[in-house]
Amino acid sequence: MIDLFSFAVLGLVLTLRLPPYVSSRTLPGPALWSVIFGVLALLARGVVIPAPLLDAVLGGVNYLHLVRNLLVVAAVWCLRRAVADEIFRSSKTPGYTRPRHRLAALFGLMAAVSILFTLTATGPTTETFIPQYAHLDAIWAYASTYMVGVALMAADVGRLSRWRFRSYLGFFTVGASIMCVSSIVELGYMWMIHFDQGTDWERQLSYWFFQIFFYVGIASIAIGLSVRPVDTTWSVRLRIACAQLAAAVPLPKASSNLFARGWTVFWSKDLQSRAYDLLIQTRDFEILNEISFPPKTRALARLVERILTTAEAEIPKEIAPKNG
Amino acid sequence: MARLNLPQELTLSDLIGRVADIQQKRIVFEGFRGSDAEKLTSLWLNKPDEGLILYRFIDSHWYRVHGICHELAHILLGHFGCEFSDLAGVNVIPGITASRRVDTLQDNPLEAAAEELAYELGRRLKKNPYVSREPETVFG
Repeated sequence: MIDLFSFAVLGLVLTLRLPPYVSSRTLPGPALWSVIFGVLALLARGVVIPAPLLDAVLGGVNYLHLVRNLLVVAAVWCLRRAVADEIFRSSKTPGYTRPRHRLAALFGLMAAVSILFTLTATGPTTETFIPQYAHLDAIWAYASTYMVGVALMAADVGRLSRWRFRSYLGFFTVGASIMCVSSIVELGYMWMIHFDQGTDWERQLSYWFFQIFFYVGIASIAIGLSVRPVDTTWSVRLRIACAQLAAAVPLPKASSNLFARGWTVFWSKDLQSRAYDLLIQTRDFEILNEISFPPKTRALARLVERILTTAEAEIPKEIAPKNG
Repeated sequence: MARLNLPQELTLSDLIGRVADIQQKRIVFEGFRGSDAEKLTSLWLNKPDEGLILYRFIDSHWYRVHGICHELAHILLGHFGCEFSDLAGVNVIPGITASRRVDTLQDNPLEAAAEELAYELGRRLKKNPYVSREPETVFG
Protein backbone atom coordinates (compact mmCIF):
# COMPACT_ATOMS: atom_id res chain seq x y z
CA MET A 1 0.00 0.00 0.00
CA ILE A 2 2.75 2.42 0.98
CA ASP A 3 4.65 1.73 -2.26
CA LEU A 4 1.45 2.31 -4.24
CA PHE A 5 1.15 5.69 -2.50
CA SER A 6 4.77 6.55 -3.41
CA PHE A 7 4.14 5.43 -6.97
CA ALA A 8 1.06 7.69 -7.21
CA VAL A 9 2.94 10.70 -5.79
CA LEU A 10 5.95 10.20 -8.06
CA GLY A 11 3.61 9.63 -11.01
CA LEU A 12 2.00 13.01 -10.27
CA VAL A 13 5.42 14.69 -10.11
CA LEU A 14 6.35 13.10 -13.43
CA THR A 15 3.10 14.28 -15.02
CA LEU A 16 3.63 17.84 -13.79
CA ARG A 17 7.30 18.11 -14.61
CA LEU A 18 8.02 16.04 -17.69
CA PRO A 19 5.95 17.84 -20.40
CA PRO A 20 8.18 20.98 -20.64
CA TYR A 21 11.24 18.78 -21.16
CA VAL A 22 9.47 16.73 -23.82
CA SER A 23 8.20 19.79 -25.69
CA SER A 24 11.57 21.56 -25.58
CA ARG A 25 13.44 18.31 -26.26
CA THR A 26 15.89 18.91 -23.43
CA LEU A 27 17.19 16.40 -20.91
CA PRO A 28 15.72 16.50 -17.38
CA GLY A 29 17.87 17.44 -14.39
CA PRO A 30 18.90 14.99 -11.64
CA ALA A 31 15.76 15.56 -9.54
CA LEU A 32 13.48 14.47 -12.36
CA TRP A 33 15.77 11.57 -13.23
CA SER A 34 15.45 10.48 -9.63
CA VAL A 35 11.67 10.55 -10.03
CA ILE A 36 11.86 8.58 -13.30
CA PHE A 37 14.11 5.89 -11.79
CA GLY A 38 11.92 5.83 -8.67
CA VAL A 39 8.76 5.25 -10.71
CA LEU A 40 10.46 2.47 -12.69
CA ALA A 41 11.80 0.87 -9.47
CA LEU A 42 8.32 0.84 -7.97
CA LEU A 43 6.92 -0.62 -11.19
CA ALA A 44 9.58 -3.33 -10.91
CA ARG A 45 8.31 -4.02 -7.41
CA GLY A 46 5.00 -4.96 -8.99
CA VAL A 47 2.79 -2.08 -7.85
CA VAL A 48 0.94 -2.05 -11.16
CA ILE A 49 1.76 -5.31 -12.96
CA PRO A 50 2.48 -8.32 -10.71
CA ALA A 51 6.23 -8.84 -10.30
CA PRO A 52 6.17 -12.53 -11.43
CA LEU A 53 4.70 -11.47 -14.78
CA LEU A 54 7.43 -8.88 -15.28
CA ASP A 55 10.13 -11.30 -14.20
CA ALA A 56 8.80 -13.86 -16.67
CA VAL A 57 9.55 -11.38 -19.46
CA LEU A 58 13.15 -11.25 -18.21
CA GLY A 59 13.50 -15.03 -18.24
CA GLY A 60 11.87 -15.96 -14.95
CA VAL A 61 15.13 -16.20 -12.97
CA ASN A 62 14.68 -13.20 -10.65
CA TYR A 63 16.49 -10.68 -12.85
CA LEU A 64 13.70 -8.30 -11.90
CA HIS A 65 15.24 -8.17 -8.39
CA LEU A 66 18.52 -6.98 -9.88
CA VAL A 67 16.81 -4.48 -12.20
CA ARG A 68 14.82 -3.03 -9.32
CA ASN A 69 17.88 -2.64 -7.14
CA LEU A 70 19.84 -0.97 -9.95
CA LEU A 71 16.96 1.47 -10.43
CA VAL A 72 16.91 2.24 -6.69
CA VAL A 73 20.67 2.89 -6.75
CA ALA A 74 20.25 5.25 -9.73
CA ALA A 75 17.29 7.03 -8.10
CA VAL A 76 19.11 7.65 -4.81
CA TRP A 77 22.30 8.72 -6.60
CA CYS A 78 20.34 11.26 -8.68
CA LEU A 79 18.50 12.49 -5.59
CA ARG A 80 21.81 13.07 -3.80
CA ARG A 81 23.08 14.99 -6.82
CA ALA A 82 19.88 17.08 -6.97
CA VAL A 83 19.98 17.94 -3.27
CA ALA A 84 23.61 19.07 -3.64
CA ASP A 85 22.67 21.14 -6.72
CA GLU A 86 19.87 22.81 -4.80
CA ILE A 87 21.96 23.56 -1.72
CA PHE A 88 24.95 24.91 -3.61
CA ARG A 89 22.84 26.62 -6.28
CA SER A 90 23.08 30.19 -5.08
CA SER A 91 25.45 30.30 -2.16
CA LYS A 92 28.33 28.54 -0.54
CA THR A 93 27.57 26.65 2.63
CA PRO A 94 30.14 27.75 5.21
CA GLY A 95 32.64 25.11 6.24
CA TYR A 96 31.31 22.61 3.75
CA THR A 97 32.52 21.52 0.36
CA ARG A 98 30.31 20.21 -2.36
CA PRO A 99 30.30 16.39 -2.43
CA ARG A 100 31.61 14.57 -5.49
CA HIS A 101 29.23 12.92 -7.87
CA ARG A 102 31.33 10.77 -10.09
CA LEU A 103 29.33 8.81 -12.61
CA ALA A 104 32.18 6.28 -12.52
CA ALA A 105 31.35 5.56 -8.86
CA LEU A 106 27.69 4.99 -9.73
CA PHE A 107 28.52 2.72 -12.64
CA GLY A 108 31.16 0.93 -10.53
CA LEU A 109 28.58 0.13 -7.85
CA MET A 110 26.04 -0.98 -10.46
CA ALA A 111 28.60 -3.17 -12.20
CA ALA A 112 29.70 -4.78 -8.93
CA VAL A 113 26.10 -5.51 -7.94
CA SER A 114 25.30 -6.91 -11.39
CA ILE A 115 28.38 -9.14 -11.54
CA LEU A 116 27.77 -10.56 -8.05
CA PHE A 117 24.14 -11.29 -8.93
CA THR A 118 25.00 -13.14 -12.11
CA LEU A 119 27.61 -15.33 -10.39
CA THR A 120 24.87 -17.63 -9.10
CA ALA A 121 21.95 -18.87 -11.14
CA THR A 122 18.70 -18.25 -9.28
CA GLY A 123 15.22 -19.32 -10.18
CA PRO A 124 12.35 -19.72 -10.47
CA THR A 125 10.70 -16.34 -9.81
CA THR A 126 10.08 -15.64 -6.15
CA GLU A 127 8.79 -12.64 -4.25
CA THR A 128 10.86 -13.55 -1.19
CA PHE A 129 14.19 -13.56 -2.97
CA ILE A 130 16.46 -12.49 -0.11
CA PRO A 131 15.02 -14.86 2.55
CA GLN A 132 15.39 -17.73 0.07
CA TYR A 133 18.81 -16.97 -1.39
CA ALA A 134 20.79 -14.88 1.13
CA HIS A 135 22.55 -18.04 2.35
CA LEU A 136 24.38 -18.18 -1.02
CA ASP A 137 27.70 -16.30 -0.95
CA ALA A 138 27.23 -14.45 -4.23
CA ILE A 139 23.66 -13.38 -3.46
CA TRP A 140 24.60 -12.29 0.05
CA ALA A 141 27.52 -10.29 -1.36
CA TYR A 142 25.29 -8.85 -4.12
CA ALA A 143 22.52 -7.76 -1.77
CA SER A 144 24.94 -6.49 0.89
CA THR A 145 26.92 -4.42 -1.64
CA TYR A 146 23.68 -2.92 -2.91
CA MET A 147 22.43 -2.21 0.60
CA VAL A 148 25.72 -0.61 1.73
CA GLY A 149 25.66 1.62 -1.37
CA VAL A 150 22.07 2.72 -0.71
CA ALA A 151 22.71 3.24 3.02
CA LEU A 152 25.75 5.45 2.35
CA MET A 153 24.00 7.55 -0.29
CA ALA A 154 20.83 7.86 1.81
CA ALA A 155 22.94 8.95 4.80
CA ASP A 156 24.54 11.60 2.62
CA VAL A 157 21.13 12.83 1.36
CA GLY A 158 19.96 13.10 4.98
CA ARG A 159 23.11 14.97 5.97
CA LEU A 160 23.06 17.36 3.00
CA SER A 161 19.36 18.16 3.32
CA ARG A 162 19.93 19.63 6.76
CA TRP A 163 22.25 22.33 5.54
CA ARG A 164 19.81 24.82 4.23
CA PHE A 165 16.18 24.94 5.07
CA ARG A 166 13.57 24.40 2.42
CA SER A 167 10.28 22.78 3.36
CA TYR A 168 10.75 19.83 1.02
CA LEU A 169 14.32 19.15 2.15
CA GLY A 170 12.86 18.18 5.53
CA PHE A 171 11.03 15.31 3.84
CA PHE A 172 14.34 14.18 2.32
CA THR A 173 16.11 14.32 5.68
CA VAL A 174 13.42 12.20 7.33
CA GLY A 175 12.97 9.81 4.39
CA ALA A 176 16.66 9.28 3.69
CA SER A 177 17.39 8.75 7.39
CA ILE A 178 14.67 6.09 7.61
CA MET A 179 15.99 4.46 4.44
CA CYS A 180 19.50 4.46 5.85
CA VAL A 181 18.44 2.89 9.16
CA SER A 182 16.29 0.25 7.48
CA SER A 183 19.14 -0.57 5.07
CA ILE A 184 21.41 -1.20 8.06
CA VAL A 185 18.72 -3.40 9.61
CA GLU A 186 18.45 -5.33 6.32
CA LEU A 187 22.22 -5.80 6.28
CA GLY A 188 21.90 -7.31 9.74
CA TYR A 189 19.07 -9.54 8.57
CA MET A 190 21.07 -10.83 5.60
CA TRP A 191 24.06 -11.41 7.85
CA MET A 192 21.86 -13.51 10.17
CA ILE A 193 20.55 -15.54 7.23
CA HIS A 194 23.95 -16.02 5.64
CA PHE A 195 25.83 -16.95 8.81
CA ASP A 196 22.88 -18.72 10.40
CA GLN A 197 22.73 -16.37 13.35
CA GLY A 198 19.88 -14.94 15.42
CA THR A 199 16.55 -16.39 16.42
CA ASP A 200 13.58 -16.73 14.06
CA TRP A 201 11.92 -13.91 15.92
CA GLU A 202 14.91 -11.57 15.36
CA ARG A 203 15.04 -12.49 11.69
CA GLN A 204 11.32 -11.95 11.21
CA LEU A 205 11.39 -8.64 13.02
CA SER A 206 14.35 -7.26 11.07
CA TYR A 207 12.89 -8.50 7.77
CA TRP A 208 9.55 -6.80 8.35
CA PHE A 209 11.21 -3.68 9.70
CA PHE A 210 13.01 -3.30 6.38
CA GLN A 211 9.97 -4.22 4.30
CA ILE A 212 7.91 -1.52 5.98
CA PHE A 213 10.32 1.28 6.85
CA PHE A 214 12.41 1.27 3.68
CA TYR A 215 9.23 2.10 1.77
CA VAL A 216 8.07 4.60 4.40
CA GLY A 217 11.37 6.39 3.73
CA ILE A 218 10.72 6.31 -0.01
CA ALA A 219 7.21 7.69 0.57
CA SER A 220 8.62 10.60 2.58
CA ILE A 221 11.10 11.39 -0.21
CA ALA A 222 8.30 11.12 -2.80
CA ILE A 223 6.30 13.73 -0.85
CA GLY A 224 9.39 15.97 -0.74
CA LEU A 225 9.81 15.63 -4.50
CA SER A 226 6.19 16.66 -5.04
CA VAL A 227 6.34 19.90 -3.00
CA ARG A 228 7.99 22.11 -5.61
CA PRO A 229 5.99 20.91 -8.62
CA VAL A 230 2.73 21.41 -6.68
CA ASP A 231 4.09 24.79 -5.54
CA THR A 232 4.78 25.66 -9.18
CA THR A 233 1.21 24.71 -10.04
CA TRP A 234 -0.03 27.14 -7.39
CA SER A 235 2.30 29.81 -8.73
CA VAL A 236 1.05 29.33 -12.27
CA ARG A 237 -2.53 29.55 -11.03
CA LEU A 238 -1.73 32.77 -9.20
CA ARG A 239 0.10 34.20 -12.22
CA ILE A 240 -2.90 33.57 -14.45
CA ALA A 241 -5.35 35.04 -11.91
CA CYS A 242 -3.17 38.15 -11.41
CA ALA A 243 -2.79 38.64 -15.16
CA GLN A 244 -6.56 38.39 -15.63
CA LEU A 245 -7.16 40.80 -12.76
CA ALA A 246 -4.62 43.31 -14.11
CA ALA A 247 -6.23 43.11 -17.53
CA ALA A 248 -9.68 43.67 -16.04
CA VAL A 249 -8.83 46.73 -13.94
CA PRO A 250 -7.46 49.86 -15.69
CA LEU A 251 -5.22 51.04 -12.85
CA PRO A 252 -3.60 54.47 -13.14
CA LYS A 253 -0.07 54.40 -14.61
CA ALA A 254 -0.73 50.99 -16.17
CA SER A 255 -0.82 50.44 -19.90
CA SER A 256 -4.12 51.10 -21.66
CA ASN A 257 -3.69 47.81 -23.51
CA LEU A 258 -5.23 45.05 -21.43
CA PHE A 259 -3.11 42.37 -23.01
CA ALA A 260 0.04 44.34 -22.14
CA ARG A 261 -1.19 44.81 -18.56
CA GLY A 262 -1.83 41.10 -18.13
CA TRP A 263 1.42 40.13 -19.85
CA THR A 264 3.54 42.38 -17.58
CA VAL A 265 1.93 41.00 -14.44
CA PHE A 266 2.14 37.37 -15.62
CA TRP A 267 5.91 37.60 -15.96
CA SER A 268 6.49 39.42 -12.65
CA LYS A 269 9.71 38.33 -10.99
CA ASP A 270 8.43 38.56 -7.43
CA LEU A 271 4.97 37.10 -7.87
CA GLN A 272 3.89 37.36 -4.22
CA SER A 273 4.70 41.06 -4.01
CA ARG A 274 3.10 41.80 -7.36
CA ALA A 275 -0.07 39.97 -6.34
CA TYR A 276 -0.16 41.88 -3.05
CA ASP A 277 0.28 45.26 -4.80
CA LEU A 278 -2.38 44.37 -7.31
CA LEU A 279 -4.91 43.43 -4.64
CA ILE A 280 -4.44 46.70 -2.79
CA GLN A 281 -4.39 48.90 -5.90
CA THR A 282 -7.48 47.20 -7.29
CA ARG A 283 -9.47 47.78 -4.12
CA ASP A 284 -8.18 51.39 -3.87
CA PHE A 285 -9.34 51.93 -7.42
CA GLU A 286 -12.79 50.59 -6.58
CA ILE A 287 -13.17 52.78 -3.49
CA LEU A 288 -11.68 55.91 -5.03
CA ASN A 289 -13.89 55.77 -8.11
CA GLU A 290 -16.92 54.70 -6.10
CA ILE A 291 -17.58 51.79 -8.41
CA SER A 292 -18.36 48.17 -7.92
CA PHE A 293 -16.48 45.68 -10.06
CA PRO A 294 -18.43 43.08 -12.02
CA PRO A 295 -18.78 39.69 -10.26
CA LYS A 296 -16.08 38.14 -12.50
CA THR A 297 -13.48 40.72 -11.47
CA ARG A 298 -14.44 40.39 -7.80
CA ALA A 299 -14.14 36.62 -8.09
CA LEU A 300 -10.62 37.01 -9.52
CA ALA A 301 -9.62 39.30 -6.65
CA ARG A 302 -11.02 36.76 -4.18
CA LEU A 303 -9.07 33.97 -5.88
CA VAL A 304 -5.79 35.92 -5.66
CA GLU A 305 -6.60 36.73 -2.03
CA ARG A 306 -7.32 33.08 -1.22
CA ILE A 307 -4.11 31.80 -2.81
CA LEU A 308 -2.03 34.37 -0.92
CA THR A 309 -3.60 33.94 2.49
CA THR A 310 -2.27 31.76 5.30
CA ALA A 311 -3.57 31.26 8.82
CA GLU A 312 -0.41 32.95 10.09
CA ALA A 313 -1.54 36.26 8.61
CA GLU A 314 -4.47 36.68 11.01
CA ILE A 315 -4.88 40.08 12.62
CA PRO A 316 -4.08 39.93 16.36
CA LYS A 317 -6.17 41.60 19.08
CA GLU A 318 -3.23 43.36 20.68
CA ILE A 319 0.53 43.17 20.98
CA ALA A 320 2.60 44.62 23.79
CA PRO A 321 6.25 45.70 23.55
CA LYS A 322 8.76 43.16 24.84
CA ASN A 323 10.07 45.35 27.64
CA GLY A 324 6.91 47.35 28.18
CA MET B 1 13.44 50.07 5.91
CA ALA B 2 17.16 49.52 6.34
CA ARG B 3 17.04 50.96 9.87
CA LEU B 4 14.19 48.64 10.80
CA ASN B 5 16.40 45.70 9.90
CA LEU B 6 13.42 43.49 9.14
CA PRO B 7 13.87 39.97 7.85
CA GLN B 8 12.96 39.23 4.24
CA GLU B 9 9.78 37.51 5.42
CA LEU B 10 7.87 37.93 8.68
CA THR B 11 4.41 37.47 10.15
CA LEU B 12 2.05 40.33 10.85
CA SER B 13 2.43 39.70 14.59
CA ASP B 14 6.23 39.92 14.29
CA LEU B 15 5.93 43.23 12.45
CA ILE B 16 3.50 44.69 15.00
CA GLY B 17 5.74 43.47 17.83
CA ARG B 18 8.69 45.29 16.26
CA VAL B 19 6.69 48.52 15.99
CA ALA B 20 5.39 48.15 19.58
CA ASP B 21 9.00 47.77 20.75
CA ILE B 22 10.01 50.93 18.90
CA GLN B 23 7.03 52.90 20.16
CA GLN B 24 7.24 51.34 23.64
CA LYS B 25 3.46 51.09 23.67
CA ARG B 26 0.92 48.35 23.40
CA ILE B 27 -0.84 48.27 20.05
CA VAL B 28 -4.49 47.26 20.06
CA PHE B 29 -6.60 46.34 17.03
CA GLU B 30 -10.29 46.73 16.52
CA GLY B 31 -12.51 46.39 13.51
CA PHE B 32 -15.08 49.04 12.72
CA ARG B 33 -18.17 49.01 10.59
CA GLY B 34 -18.11 51.03 7.44
CA SER B 35 -19.55 50.99 4.01
CA ASP B 36 -18.10 50.95 0.52
CA ALA B 37 -19.24 54.54 0.10
CA GLU B 38 -16.79 55.69 2.79
CA LYS B 39 -13.20 56.20 1.86
CA LEU B 40 -11.80 55.79 5.36
CA THR B 41 -10.34 52.30 5.55
CA SER B 42 -8.14 52.37 8.66
CA LEU B 43 -7.22 54.64 11.52
CA TRP B 44 -4.53 55.07 14.15
CA LEU B 45 -5.46 56.65 17.48
CA ASN B 46 -2.39 57.60 19.44
CA LYS B 47 -3.69 57.20 23.00
CA PRO B 48 -1.39 57.99 25.93
CA ASP B 49 -1.02 54.38 27.05
CA GLU B 50 -1.54 52.51 23.80
CA GLY B 51 -1.85 52.82 20.09
CA LEU B 52 -5.27 51.86 18.80
CA ILE B 53 -5.48 50.81 15.18
CA LEU B 54 -8.90 50.45 13.64
CA TYR B 55 -9.55 48.56 10.44
CA ARG B 56 -12.70 48.18 8.41
CA PHE B 57 -14.66 44.95 8.65
CA ILE B 58 -16.04 44.98 5.13
CA ASP B 59 -12.64 44.88 3.47
CA SER B 60 -10.85 41.71 2.41
CA HIS B 61 -8.09 40.27 4.58
CA TRP B 62 -5.09 41.68 2.73
CA TYR B 63 -6.73 45.06 2.33
CA ARG B 64 -7.27 45.23 6.11
CA VAL B 65 -3.68 44.15 6.64
CA HIS B 66 -2.48 46.82 4.24
CA GLY B 67 -4.47 49.44 6.16
CA ILE B 68 -2.76 48.26 9.34
CA CYS B 69 0.65 48.43 7.62
CA HIS B 70 -0.18 51.99 6.59
CA GLU B 71 -0.92 52.97 10.20
CA LEU B 72 2.20 51.17 11.42
CA ALA B 73 4.13 53.14 8.81
CA HIS B 74 2.77 56.38 10.29
CA ILE B 75 4.06 55.28 13.69
CA LEU B 76 7.45 54.31 12.27
CA LEU B 77 7.76 57.58 10.37
CA GLY B 78 7.02 59.55 13.54
CA HIS B 79 3.79 61.09 12.26
CA PHE B 80 1.18 62.29 14.68
CA GLY B 81 -1.73 59.99 15.33
CA CYS B 82 -5.19 61.32 15.93
CA GLU B 83 -5.37 62.28 19.60
CA PHE B 84 -8.04 60.24 21.34
CA SER B 85 -9.49 63.33 22.99
CA ASP B 86 -10.22 64.81 19.55
CA LEU B 87 -12.64 62.01 18.87
CA ALA B 88 -14.62 61.93 22.08
CA GLY B 89 -18.32 61.78 21.38
CA VAL B 90 -17.82 62.16 17.67
CA ASN B 91 -18.09 59.69 14.84
CA VAL B 92 -14.71 58.80 13.49
CA ILE B 93 -13.44 61.97 11.85
CA PRO B 94 -9.71 61.58 11.84
CA GLY B 95 -6.97 64.07 11.29
CA ILE B 96 -5.56 63.53 7.85
CA THR B 97 -2.31 61.94 9.05
CA ALA B 98 -4.23 59.45 11.14
CA SER B 99 -6.24 57.67 8.51
CA ARG B 100 -5.83 55.75 5.34
CA ARG B 101 -8.12 57.63 3.02
CA VAL B 102 -7.61 56.50 -0.51
CA ASP B 103 -8.40 59.95 -1.90
CA THR B 104 -5.56 61.62 0.04
CA LEU B 105 -2.78 59.19 -0.85
CA GLN B 106 -1.62 61.10 -3.92
CA ASP B 107 -1.79 64.66 -2.66
CA ASN B 108 -0.61 64.47 0.92
CA PRO B 109 3.14 63.89 1.31
CA LEU B 110 2.74 62.31 4.76
CA GLU B 111 0.12 59.90 3.46
CA ALA B 112 2.18 59.16 0.38
CA ALA B 113 5.25 58.39 2.51
CA ALA B 114 3.24 56.15 4.84
CA GLU B 115 1.68 54.40 1.87
CA GLU B 116 5.03 53.77 0.25
CA LEU B 117 6.36 52.24 3.46
CA ALA B 118 3.11 50.28 3.91
CA TYR B 119 3.70 48.56 0.57
CA GLU B 120 7.25 47.68 1.60
CA LEU B 121 6.00 46.22 4.88
CA GLY B 122 3.05 44.40 3.30
CA ARG B 123 5.22 42.76 0.67
CA ARG B 124 7.41 41.27 3.37
CA LEU B 125 4.55 39.62 5.24
CA LYS B 126 4.42 35.86 5.03
CA LYS B 127 2.00 34.62 2.46
CA ASN B 128 1.13 31.21 1.11
CA PRO B 129 4.36 29.20 1.30
CA TYR B 130 3.24 27.22 -1.74
CA VAL B 131 3.60 30.30 -3.87
CA SER B 132 7.31 30.59 -4.09
CA ARG B 133 9.14 33.87 -4.47
CA GLU B 134 11.71 32.10 -6.62
CA PRO B 135 10.74 31.18 -10.15
CA GLU B 136 13.03 28.18 -10.65
CA THR B 137 14.66 25.56 -8.49
CA VAL B 138 16.19 22.15 -9.02
CA PHE B 139 13.08 20.42 -7.75
CA GLY B 140 10.42 21.98 -9.93
